[in-house]
Amino acid sequence: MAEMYYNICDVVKFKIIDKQKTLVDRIVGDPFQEYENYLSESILDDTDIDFVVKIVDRIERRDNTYILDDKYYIDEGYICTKDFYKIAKWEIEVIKTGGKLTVSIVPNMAARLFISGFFIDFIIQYVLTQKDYSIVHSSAVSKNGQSYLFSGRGGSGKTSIAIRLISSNRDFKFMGDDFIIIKDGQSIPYFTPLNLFSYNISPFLAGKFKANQKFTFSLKKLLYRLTLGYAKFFTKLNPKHNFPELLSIDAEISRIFIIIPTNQNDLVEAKITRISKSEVIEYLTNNLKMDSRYFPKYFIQYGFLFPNDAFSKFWRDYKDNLTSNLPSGVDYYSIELPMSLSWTRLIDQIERGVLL
Amino acid sequence: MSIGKYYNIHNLIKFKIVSERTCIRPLEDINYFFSYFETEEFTNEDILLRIGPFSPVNNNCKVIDHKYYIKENYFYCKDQEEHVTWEVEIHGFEHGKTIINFHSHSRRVEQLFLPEYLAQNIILRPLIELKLLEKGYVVIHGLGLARGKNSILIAARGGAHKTRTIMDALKSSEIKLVGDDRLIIGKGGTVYSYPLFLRLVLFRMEHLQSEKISIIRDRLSMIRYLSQNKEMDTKRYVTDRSDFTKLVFVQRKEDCISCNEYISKSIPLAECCDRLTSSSKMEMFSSGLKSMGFVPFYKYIQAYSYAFPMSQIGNYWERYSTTLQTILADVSIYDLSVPKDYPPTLLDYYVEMMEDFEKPLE
Repeated sequence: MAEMYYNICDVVKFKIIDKQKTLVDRIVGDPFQEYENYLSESILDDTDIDFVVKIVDRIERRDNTYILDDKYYIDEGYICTKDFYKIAKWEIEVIKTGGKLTVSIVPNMAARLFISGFFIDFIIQYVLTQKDYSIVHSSAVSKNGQSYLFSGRGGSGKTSIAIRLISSNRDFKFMGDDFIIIKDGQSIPYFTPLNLFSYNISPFLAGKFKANQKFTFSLKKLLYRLTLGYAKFFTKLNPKHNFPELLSIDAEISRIFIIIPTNQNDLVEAKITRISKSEVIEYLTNNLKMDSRYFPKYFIQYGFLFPNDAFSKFWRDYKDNLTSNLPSGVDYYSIELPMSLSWTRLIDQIERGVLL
Repeated sequence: MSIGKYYNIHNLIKFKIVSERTCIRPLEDINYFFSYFETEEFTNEDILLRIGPFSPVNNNCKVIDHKYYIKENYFYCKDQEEHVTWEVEIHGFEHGKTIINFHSHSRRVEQLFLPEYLAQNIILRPLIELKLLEKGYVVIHGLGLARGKNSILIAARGGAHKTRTIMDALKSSEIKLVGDDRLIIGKGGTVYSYPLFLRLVLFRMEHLQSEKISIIRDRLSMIRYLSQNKEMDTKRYVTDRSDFTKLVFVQRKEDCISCNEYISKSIPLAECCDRLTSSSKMEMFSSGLKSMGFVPFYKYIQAYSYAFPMSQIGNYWERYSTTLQTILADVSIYDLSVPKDYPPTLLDYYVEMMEDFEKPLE
C-alpha cells in the first residue's frame, strides 16, 4: 500500500491510495507519473483534501440504490458501475460527501494504464470547476507577463508550437503543453510530462534528453516497429527536470488560438480568423468534452435521476466559469492549419500578422 | 444489383434505403427497425441511405482527431469498434436532403446481415432524430401506451420493466402501443407511434420463455421469424396518433418492495426536460452493437460541434431541451420508483393513471 499526496497550485489537493506497484508499472511507467510535479512532500490534512482515489481489489457496493440500464447503481451523491474500453475493464464507485469525493477503482491490468487519463484528469477538472477555476486543453507560452494559449485536439500541434516558440531564443517561457488553468484573466502553468514519440520530437527536445531517456526512447521506437505498431509507449520528458530554466510563472492572457487541422493541402498559408469570446468558449468546452469520455457519461446517467446536482450541471458550470475567467478585451483566433504546412511557416505567419 | 426500400414515418419524414443484394435472400428481408413504416415507392425522400462501397468527397475538410473529415453540412469518417469497421459519409448533415453512404465490414459471420443493421442502428436512427428535431418534433426514449385517443408516456432508462409492460399491454385488447423504445412527440401534446422492436417483442412472446435471447437456436429462429412474418399485421397493436397529458419517469430501485402501493410525485418542467435530454444522450452514448461501449453518433455530433460550434448541430442538445419545454408545457409530469422484480400490477397502474384525468395524483 502506498499513500501519495498531491497539491496542484494550492487549489486542488488530493490523495492517491495505491496497491503494490505491478510489473507493468515498471515497464510502462507509473500510472500517476502525470502528476509527479505536484507530489507533496508532507502529508496533507484530510480536511484540506478535495478528493481521494483508491485503487482497490473490490468494491462493496451500497445497497438500495436506483438501478439504471441494469448496471449503473445510482443514488444521491453516489455512482457505481462497471465499464470497459477495449481490453481495459474496471469497476468504479464515486461517493460525494460534503463536496468531497472518494473514488474507488478496481482496474484490470490494462485499465491501470488509463487511470490518470480516464478518471483523475477529469476529477481534477471537476474540482477546479467547483472552485470557480477553469482548465482548458491547451498549450501555452508567455513573454513579459503576457501569455499566449494554443488550444486544439490531440495531435493538432499544440505541443509543437509551444516547443518551437520556447526554443527560438525569443524569450518565450513554457507554461504547459496539455492543460492550462485559468482564473480571472490569468493563466496558471500546469506542468505535466510531455509524451514524446518519433513524430513529435523536435531537435530541441531531443537535445534535452538525459542519457537514459535517449536509450529508452530508441528502445520504444524499436519495439513499436517490431510489434507493427501495437506496442506504442511514449517517452516522458518532464519540463521541470529537463528544461527548468525555460518555465514560466502565472501570466495575463493576451491571445488564445484555436488550432484546427485541415486537408486543404493546396493552401500555402494557414487561414487565421478572428473569433468572438463566445465562440472560443464553445471550442474550449467541446474540446474538453471530447477528451473525457467516461466520467461525463456517468454524469449524464446520473443526470437522469438528479438533474439539479453539481455532477449533472458540470458542463454548464464549466462554461459559466469560462465566461467569467476569460478576459473580454483580448483577441481570439481560429487557425485552420493545412496539415502539409510546416511549423516554421505557421510561426512566421503568426509573427508577420504581429499576433504574438 | 441493388434493391430499394421506402419508408414513411407519419408523413413527418420519408426515407429510402438502397442496398446491394447479398446472396442470402431471407436475410435481406429482415427489416430490423422500420418495417412498420415501409410503404410504396416515392420520389421526394428526406433521407437516402446507400449501403455499399463508395468513394468519399472529403477534400477541403477540417480534420478532427485525424479521423473526422468535416465541412459545412458534411461529415465523413472511417471508424472501428472491436471486429467491425465501417466508413460513413453524410451529405446534408445539418439541413436539406440528407444522403448517407455507408460501407462496413466484419470478419465474423454476422457480416451477412450486419451492413444494413449497422447502418440503420448507428447512423440512420439517430439521424432521423436530428431531422425530426429540425421539423419541431422530439424523439424521446420511452414507452407509450394508449387507450382510445388518450395516451400516457413512460420515460425510463433500461431495466425499468419496459419490455414486460409492453408484453402485458399486447396481451390486453384495449391497450395499444404508441412506441416500444422511442416516441415522437410534437406540439400540443401529440404523440406519434414509433414502434421499432414490435415484431421482436411478438417473437419473444410467442417463442421464448424468458426475456433474453441468449442461445444460437433462439437467434436463428428469430431471424426466420422476422424474415417470414413480414406482412404480419402489426397495425392492430398500435395507435398511430394520440394525445397525452401525462408523462411519468420510472426507475427501478433495489429496496422498493411494495407492488401494490405506488407512490408517484409531481416534478417541475425544467427538471423533466433535463432528464429527458440526459436519457437521449445516454441512448446515443450507450450500447448499439452489444459489445460496443459507445454508439458512435454521439462522437460524430461532438466532432461536428467542435468544427462548427455555432451551427445547428453544435446546438443540438440545447435545441432538444428547449423544444421539449414548448411541447411539454401543459403536460403533468410524475416520478415513480418501481421494485427490482417486475410487479404484475404495473400495467394496471399506468392505465389507472392514464384514465384518471380529473384527479391529480399524490
